[in-house]
Amino acid sequence: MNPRSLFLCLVLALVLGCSGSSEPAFDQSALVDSLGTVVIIPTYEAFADEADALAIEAEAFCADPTVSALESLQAQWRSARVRWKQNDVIAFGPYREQPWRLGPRIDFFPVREDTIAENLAVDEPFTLERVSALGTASRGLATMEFLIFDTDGVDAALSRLQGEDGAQACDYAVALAQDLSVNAEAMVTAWSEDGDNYLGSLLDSGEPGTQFDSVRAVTNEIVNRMLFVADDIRVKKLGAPLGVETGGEPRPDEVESRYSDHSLADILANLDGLENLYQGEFEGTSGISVREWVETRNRRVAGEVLDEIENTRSAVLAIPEPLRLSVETDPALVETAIDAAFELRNAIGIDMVNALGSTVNFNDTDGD
Amino acid sequence: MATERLPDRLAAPVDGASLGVFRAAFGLMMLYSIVRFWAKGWISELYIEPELLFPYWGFSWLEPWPGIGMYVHFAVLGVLACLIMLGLWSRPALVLFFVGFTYVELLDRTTYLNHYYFISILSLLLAFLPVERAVSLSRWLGRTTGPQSVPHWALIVVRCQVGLVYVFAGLAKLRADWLLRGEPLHTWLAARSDIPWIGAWLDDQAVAIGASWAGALFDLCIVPLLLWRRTRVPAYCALVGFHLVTGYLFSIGVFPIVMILGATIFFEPSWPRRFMRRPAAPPSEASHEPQAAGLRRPLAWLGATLIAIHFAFQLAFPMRNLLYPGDTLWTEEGYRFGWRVMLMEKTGEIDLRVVDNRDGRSWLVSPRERLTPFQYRMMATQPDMMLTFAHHLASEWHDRGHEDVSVYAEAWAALNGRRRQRLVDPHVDLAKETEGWAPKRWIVPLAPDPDIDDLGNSSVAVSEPPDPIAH
Repeated sequence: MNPRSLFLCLVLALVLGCSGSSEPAFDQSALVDSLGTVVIIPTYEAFADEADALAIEAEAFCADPTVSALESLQAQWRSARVRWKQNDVIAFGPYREQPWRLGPRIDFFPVREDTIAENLAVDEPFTLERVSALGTASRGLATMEFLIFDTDGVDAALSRLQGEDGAQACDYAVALAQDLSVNAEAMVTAWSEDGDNYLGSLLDSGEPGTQFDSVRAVTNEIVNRMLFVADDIRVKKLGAPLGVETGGEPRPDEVESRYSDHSLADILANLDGLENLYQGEFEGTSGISVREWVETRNRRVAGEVLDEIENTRSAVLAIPEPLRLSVETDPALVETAIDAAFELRNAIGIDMVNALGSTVNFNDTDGD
Repeated sequence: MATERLPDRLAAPVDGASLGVFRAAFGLMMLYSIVRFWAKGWISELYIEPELLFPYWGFSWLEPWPGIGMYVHFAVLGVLACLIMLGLWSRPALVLFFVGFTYVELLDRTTYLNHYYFISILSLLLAFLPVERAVSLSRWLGRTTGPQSVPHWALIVVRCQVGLVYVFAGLAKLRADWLLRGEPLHTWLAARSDIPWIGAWLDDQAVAIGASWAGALFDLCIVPLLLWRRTRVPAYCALVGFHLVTGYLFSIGVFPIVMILGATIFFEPSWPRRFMRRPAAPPSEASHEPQAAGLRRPLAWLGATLIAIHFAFQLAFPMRNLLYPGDTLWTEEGYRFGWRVMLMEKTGEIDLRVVDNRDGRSWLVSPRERLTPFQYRMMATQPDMMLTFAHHLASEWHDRGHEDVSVYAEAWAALNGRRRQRLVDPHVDLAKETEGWAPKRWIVPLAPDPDIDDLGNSSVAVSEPPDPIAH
């Protein structure tokens, strides 16, 4: 074969390759746009509504601190908590980036009891202005949880919120709820088109001043967040309290939301949020999904991720509440849930990432 | 000329201009790479911040410089790259650059790249070649005198080294994943389907397969096409296009530019003269004789022997994977230093469990919390790095007072779209396994994926994800 023929063959191979099916590629910009408008912003809006209601309930309780009022406040805290934990999977952008950095203000873990006690000891009324000026360890849902819940029951919690000292704690809770409401609204504003339009900046990725250098990097971040949530459930939310990182000795204090015994509900909300993002839907409204994207590459993997989410959910539901006690009374059930979360982590972090050609924990170091 | 003996033909003088340009381009690219490395914050990210590095076997005694030492080290490399580029004290500069650059590469397997290895080899080779005779500041300053010619073998040596990269890269592509499935190109191209105009095509497997075949043919044919005068120009144009496209589509850093500039060594030795104001006199027969005679001297034969040993090594070492069982891309035994470029999309996840054999207590270790994201990503798919990490954990637990510990790995990975499977036998105590060149029997072989490896062969029927360790 002479060189010219060889060169023509090379060109022909490319042309033949390019002349195949040219069905539209999966539109990742449309995916990001849809996830933002259908899932992310509505979830934050739902949280903002719950945070508003929480502020109202807190004020009502402190005006008339009764058991029923406290139960109502606690129920509202749980509702707000569920909405917030659904958003763990999208903890990027305004959640952690300046100038917003709203995530730690809304949910700082673990609770620093000493810091809260120091705040309460200061002879100064709690107002929204005062709380807004405090550090993140003194604010947010977890701090409020510490104030309004007690593992010994609602009566014990009520007794801490009554009397002269209790009034100070109650005012602290009201100011925290108001602060939450403000920050929740700020989160919606940060994402919304008529606000800071962070979603718009994601779609403009690569242009000057945007966080990501391409829409591809945005979808990569979303995949990474899904992986992180699955791994966090396995290692930190279930594994750490069970003692898997500490020689097998259970560590109930490591449980998230331990004052309210909302730990398992937190995990279930995490899974709901993960599924919402994967399915591209929220409260009956659906759009373009991550699942559809995965299906374009590997249908088996697309279905497997859903199966593993469901398996993990079932395993978590099988653990008796509260988790802080179950890690000692039913460790086998907790281990089963950890195993299920392990499979979910692997389905996302290995199969899904492999199918999509994503980069885990994106790093722009060269490859070859 | 046709009746000349081989030693005379190898020693025949040729214009040193192309070798001079090659040296200058190499220095320029190294300078650019170092500035880029610094600007991206990689000196700190890769060599200062990590709690643990993964040095190559036999080089665990190497440590990063303390304090600002690594920055000073890279600054010195930058100065050496400048000297190489300018052609001033090139030989010592190349030797020191080789030592300094290779030291950095040996610090951590995480950062292994084929082109980093290529840079180390080239800097060593160039140190022994007369690269300063033309296109150099040394010549301009009068420090270098005499003819601007170099012996023909000097060009041949560099051409062989550059050519080996392409040939081995092409041979490595002759596998079913690449040729029949278009993987991993299909995955990577589909991931870039957001590119305007051509994005839709990139999602098409037929395009990926076509591009895979074109890539393999390119790698296998480009060297002879560059060597043959009649095809040189279109071949070089194809080479430039190939590297620019791959550089645009994939994150491969300076590799495309290194190869585009490196391939100029296949041009006529005097090609730079077309762009120079004062062409040098062509090499004369007078300068031929002493060099031919020189080749017969003992020192010259020693040099020839060393070069022969070098290329024997360069031919054999990339093929050492044949000595190991299993798929090289899966086990990665004999993978590095073999010019296996862009052959795999491999993802993995790993946890390790440390067990105190005296009291039975165990600790789950999630390496994500101890390694950088980049290190974790690399270790999760590379068994020899897992072994290093396991030994690190065993040592750490020993220091904590646990005198008899075992370390087990729960490692799963997926290769080129196959379903995930175990990479490491979870029942093997890695703390007791030794590092080295011996085959790692604790690597679980790659099992066929019925959706991929069956290819119509009904005798391979696996209905569940393969798990060779399952009881």
